[in-house]
Parts: sequence; C-alpha cells; structure tokens
Amino acid sequence: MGQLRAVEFDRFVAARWAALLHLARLLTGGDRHRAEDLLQEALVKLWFAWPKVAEQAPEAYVRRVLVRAAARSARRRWWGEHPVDQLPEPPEAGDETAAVDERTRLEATLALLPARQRAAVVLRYYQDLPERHVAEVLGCPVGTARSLTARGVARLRLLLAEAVEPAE
Amino acid sequence: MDHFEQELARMMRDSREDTPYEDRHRHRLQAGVRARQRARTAWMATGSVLTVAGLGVGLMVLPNSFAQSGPTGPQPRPVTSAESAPMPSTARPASTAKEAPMPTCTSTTGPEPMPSTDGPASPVKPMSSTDGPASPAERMPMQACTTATRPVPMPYRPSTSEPVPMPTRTATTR
Repeated sequence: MGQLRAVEFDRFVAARWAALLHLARLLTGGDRHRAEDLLQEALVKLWFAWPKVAEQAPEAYVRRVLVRAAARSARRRWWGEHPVDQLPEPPEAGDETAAVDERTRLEATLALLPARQRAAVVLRYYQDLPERHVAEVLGCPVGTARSLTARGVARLRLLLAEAVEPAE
Repeated sequence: MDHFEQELARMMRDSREDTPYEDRHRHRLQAGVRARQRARTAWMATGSVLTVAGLGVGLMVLPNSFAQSGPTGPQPRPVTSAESAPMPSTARPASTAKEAPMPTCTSTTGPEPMPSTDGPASPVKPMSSTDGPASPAERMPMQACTTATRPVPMPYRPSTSEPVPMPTRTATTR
C-alpha cells in the first residue's frame, strides 16, 4: 500500500515538476531557490494529503499550497524586493538575447508587484483560471480577486512599457 | 482580453524552462518527508503525554476538592424497612412505643372480633404492650397496620398448637 502510494506520488511529481516549478518561479518573482523551497514544502504537504487528494486534483492542491506559502513567505521575510521607478538592467533593443531575456524581464516586473497581486495575475493568465477559482485559491471574495488582478495587470502594463521603451 | 493581456499570457507560458525532476530533487523531497514525519510523531507524542497528564491531574484534584468541600446537605436518616422496624415512625424512640402503642390498631377503628362458637374460652383481650406477645395479633400489631398489602391477622386467634377450626355456620349449630 505504501509502496504503491510512493510510486504514484513519484510519478505525479516527475510528470508535473517542470510546470509546478515554473509556477513557483512566477509566484516568487523569478527567485529560483525560493521557488524550489516553496515547491518542496508544497510537495511534502501533498505527500501527507496524498490518500485524500490523489484521486481528485493533486495539482490544484499543490497550487493552493504554493500560492499561500508564497504570500506567507513574502510577508515573513525580506527577499530583497523593493519597488523602483525603473527596471534594473533593462534589455537593450535589438539584442540577440532579447528572447532569452524576456523571461528575466517578466520575472523582474512580477517581482515588483505585491505578493497577492502577483499571485492573482499568475493564476489568471498563466494558469488560465476563471476569477472564481482565483478567488478560491487566494481565499478571498471574487470581487477582491478581480480587483487584485486588474491592479496587477495595470502595474505590469506600465512597467513593461517602460522596460521596452525606457523613459529618457 | 486585450493585446497586452494576451502577450502577458504568452510570455508567462513561453518563459517556462524544461527542468527535469532529478535525483537530487527526489532525495531532498524524501528527506523533507521524513523530517516532517518525525516532527508529526513528536508532536503527537507530546500531545498524548500532555493529555494523559492533564487527565491524571484532573482525576487527582477533583476528588480532593469534593472531599474538602464536605457534606452540604442534611444528615441522611437511617433507612429502615417496615418489616424490620417495630415502629413505622423513625423519629419516635423505641421506648415510647410501649407507653403509647399505635392508636390505629388499638383504637375504636380496630377490627371487630369474629363471632366464635367455642364459647368464651378465648376472650378478646385488648392490645396492651405490658402483657407481652400473647397472641399473634399482639406479636405483630405494627406490621399489620403498616403493611397494606398483607392480610390483617385475626386478633382473637388463640395461642394453641392445634389448628383452629374454620368458623363456619355448621360448626355453631352443633
């Protein structure tokens, strides 16, 4: 019984590792190490909840744990995030590595958002969840989730526009 | 969803890296599971010990607190049954029973003597506590008065060893 549980759990983690780690990176604003820590914490919790959620939606469970752990860790500890007027080291126009750096730019702009706004934007546009599910994962009313998403997108619009066309 | 939002969704999806699930991830995850298992075991053991200790302290303290508070109600009266006690009233001392027998049996409401054909050989004696238990009626007068379900014994029955003939009409005509 335990061996079967371990095999199924390992198979699930191996299949979803990359997607979950990318979600954790987006939720942490591109911090790879912190993303791995959060993902491990979520997967350890998933192991103990596996008999209950294995047949239902284990990925949804991990997503919920990740979002809440990311918000909690952002409140608990200073991760070096501080808002600035301009993005540090914006990519130069016409750079060959612009496509590669697109991820870095996105993560850098996401890091400038508050944790709950960032989680709302990631859940809405990366996970493509409806607003009702975003509210459930965040543990807030639908109106609050909608407001968080709208404000996050507006902030990202501003930051990314400045990154592409830096103000002189 | 406008153009910027579509572009944002695309950037989020395209920025995904293919990071395989390596052995170091697996070992680290297993170590995390074991550590959490130990923490849960220790937590549950601590909780069990605290629960048992709390129950033990409660069981020791509660009886002591009851004992220290003492009896608050009136003293209970000794419980006696009607058959074992000569007097139905427990408040009355036994010495007064001889001086004042129960008025219900010796008063005018007592049972009338049955007509006897044997003549005046056994006159009916009034109940008296000083004469001693000469007749069965005198031996247990209180029991007859206090027990409602039992038949009242005949007070005129003579104290002989022979069986008493039934008081029938035919016996009286002989």
